[in-house]
Amino acid sequence: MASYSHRDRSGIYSFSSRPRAVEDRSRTLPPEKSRPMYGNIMFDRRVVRGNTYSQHFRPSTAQPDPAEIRREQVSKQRTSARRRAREQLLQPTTPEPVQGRKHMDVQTELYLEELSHVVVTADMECQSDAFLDRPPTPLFIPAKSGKDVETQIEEGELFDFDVEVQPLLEVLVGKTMEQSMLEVMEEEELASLRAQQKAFKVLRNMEQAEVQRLQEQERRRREERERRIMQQREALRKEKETVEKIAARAYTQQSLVDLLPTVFNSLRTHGYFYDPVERDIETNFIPWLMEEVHKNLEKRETARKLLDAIIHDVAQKRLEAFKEPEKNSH
Amino acid sequence: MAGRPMWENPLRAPVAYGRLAVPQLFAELQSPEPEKKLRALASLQDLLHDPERLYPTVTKGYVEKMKLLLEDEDPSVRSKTCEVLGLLCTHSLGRQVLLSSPLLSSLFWLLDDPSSPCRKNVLRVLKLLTLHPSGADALLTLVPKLLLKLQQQQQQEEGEQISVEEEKKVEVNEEEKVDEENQQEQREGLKMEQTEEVKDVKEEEEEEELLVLSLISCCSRRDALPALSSDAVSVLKPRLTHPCTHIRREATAAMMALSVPMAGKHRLCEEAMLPLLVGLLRDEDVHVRTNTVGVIMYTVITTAGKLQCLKLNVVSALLDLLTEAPPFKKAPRLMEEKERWTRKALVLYSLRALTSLAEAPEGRRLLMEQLPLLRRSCEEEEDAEVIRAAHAAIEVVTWTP
Repeated sequence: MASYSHRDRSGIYSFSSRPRAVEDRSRTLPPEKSRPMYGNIMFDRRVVRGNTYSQHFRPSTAQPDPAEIRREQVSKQRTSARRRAREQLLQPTTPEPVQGRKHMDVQTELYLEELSHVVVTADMECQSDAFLDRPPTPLFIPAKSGKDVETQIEEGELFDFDVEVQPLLEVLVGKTMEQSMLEVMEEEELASLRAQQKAFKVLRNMEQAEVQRLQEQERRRREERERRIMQQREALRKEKETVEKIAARAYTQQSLVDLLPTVFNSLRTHGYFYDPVERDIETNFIPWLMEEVHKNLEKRETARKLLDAIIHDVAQKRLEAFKEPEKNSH
Repeated sequence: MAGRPMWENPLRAPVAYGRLAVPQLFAELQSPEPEKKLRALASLQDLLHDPERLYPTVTKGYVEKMKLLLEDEDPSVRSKTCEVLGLLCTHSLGRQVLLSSPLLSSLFWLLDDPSSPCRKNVLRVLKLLTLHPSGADALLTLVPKLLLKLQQQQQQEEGEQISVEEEKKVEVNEEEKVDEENQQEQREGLKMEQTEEVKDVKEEEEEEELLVLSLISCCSRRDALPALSSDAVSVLKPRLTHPCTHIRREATAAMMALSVPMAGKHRLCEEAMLPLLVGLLRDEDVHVRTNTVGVIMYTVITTAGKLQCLKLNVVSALLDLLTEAPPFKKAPRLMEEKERWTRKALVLYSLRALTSLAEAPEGRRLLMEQLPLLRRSCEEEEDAEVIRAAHAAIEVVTWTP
């Protein structure tokens, strides 16, 4: 919908809105996007009919201004009032009936007459002829002048198809072949890449297996070696132990050789080996003997003590006896 | 709608010209109708094959808008989005962006999606992600979940097998009772249809299983410990004897990746996988055999593995494998080159396995007897790596402490 100035294609017209057929939307439902229905313009209610120079029109867009409405109303009232006044002046009318009565028309003549004044009329029409279509203009055929010349292109004169088509065909076929060869080459390249990949994978698997095998071998050998070293160490240790044991045994043997006689000697000296009779004598007889001897000696002792005591007493008494005179003499 | 122009494809959204193409398609992806989203996704799929279109898409952060699509209600929308993401992953920049975006967690969540094509597309996307080691690292956390899925599937299969066996028994009984031929034909016809349906479902499940297994093996090549800690060895055990060759291939490849660390080797010895693997050495498919020899090669590095394998008489099997492969020559064409490498891998792995076995005294004794064979193969070969491997084997065999 060109709402801007638009020049028609042939350059004759220019319009601000391009003419288009009016769609009839009032009857059918609008949103259908089917073929737009165009109504017959003759039966469209929106189209104005008859002469337009005496019709009142309302500007459809403008909101009726209240002042304008007022003005219109006033003017209408004035015109109606004027009309009424004019009628009153021109025609004297009978006064209004008194209350309770009604006016009626009555004929007061002798003879009845029709009260109508019918004017004899006759309708006459006049119509101009309908417009006839303008007859088509006759073809303008200018008078013949000059010479008649004709020409005709025979077959084979413009071009020779078989010859001309050769380069075209060559190009077409060549391009197709080239394209297909490229594709085939691509595929071959991909296939050879894949084959290479496979070969590489095979070799890689092999080498991996070899590497793993050698690793395993290494591991086994290392473990074997470790085990042997451990074994060897164990053996060495055992040997050392046995050597030490032997040395210790020899030494102890040597030191113990003298042990036995010394032990016996010391035991003997300590009196652990005894003659039972001797022991018996020692344990029983000798103490008894000693007791007896002791007793005897005690007796002598007591006797001697007694004697000593007596002597002492005697001596004491004598001393006292000597001393008394001395004291008495002094 | 009948009034559409002829050049419009009902399956693809119209693509704008030039720089606007991708943004406009992404704008169309916001619409709530699933058909429009599918169309826009299909057009995106066509466009994003071109790296020139892909790089601006990835660098301008349109990828995050796909997160909403991954959580859409319609399963076909989800699976189409995963296909588009798969296209993204074919380029390294796309992979990086995807790894660093929050889409990764949505993808993980989608692994449990009820619709099967969606799950498969997610698995394909994840598989493409593992092309680069950083992608495989990022997916290591997913490995336990995948193993759990495999386990569940295994249990489901076992349950189905039991029920199928029961059904077969019932059918046999019914057939014995009926006399008329028409009825029998009808029933067979029905059975055929049923088995076809079951086969289709089975094929899809097998494809999914295959993708899951290849994912697990890719991730385990980076680091096998998460898989091992989730008890991968016992989960993979039944797959080794699966009737489908691809699954066996992938299972043995995963097993090889698992047997690289020491813990894996010990697990394999504990779970008594070696008899199974030795049986697989006589498998028909070259790749299965190669992978099995690879597993054995890794396992016999441990002492326990050596002893078990010697008991199972592996040496003769490996020598058979060595002798059946003809000497190698340089092959001019690519396909032959690939075949040559597969056979070469077989020979190399066998030689390495024999080398490891020769470290055990029992193995050394056995191989001393076969020494002329080894020497002969060493001299006849033109290939440098094979010669080297044979030399190493001979060295180990003739080693004395």
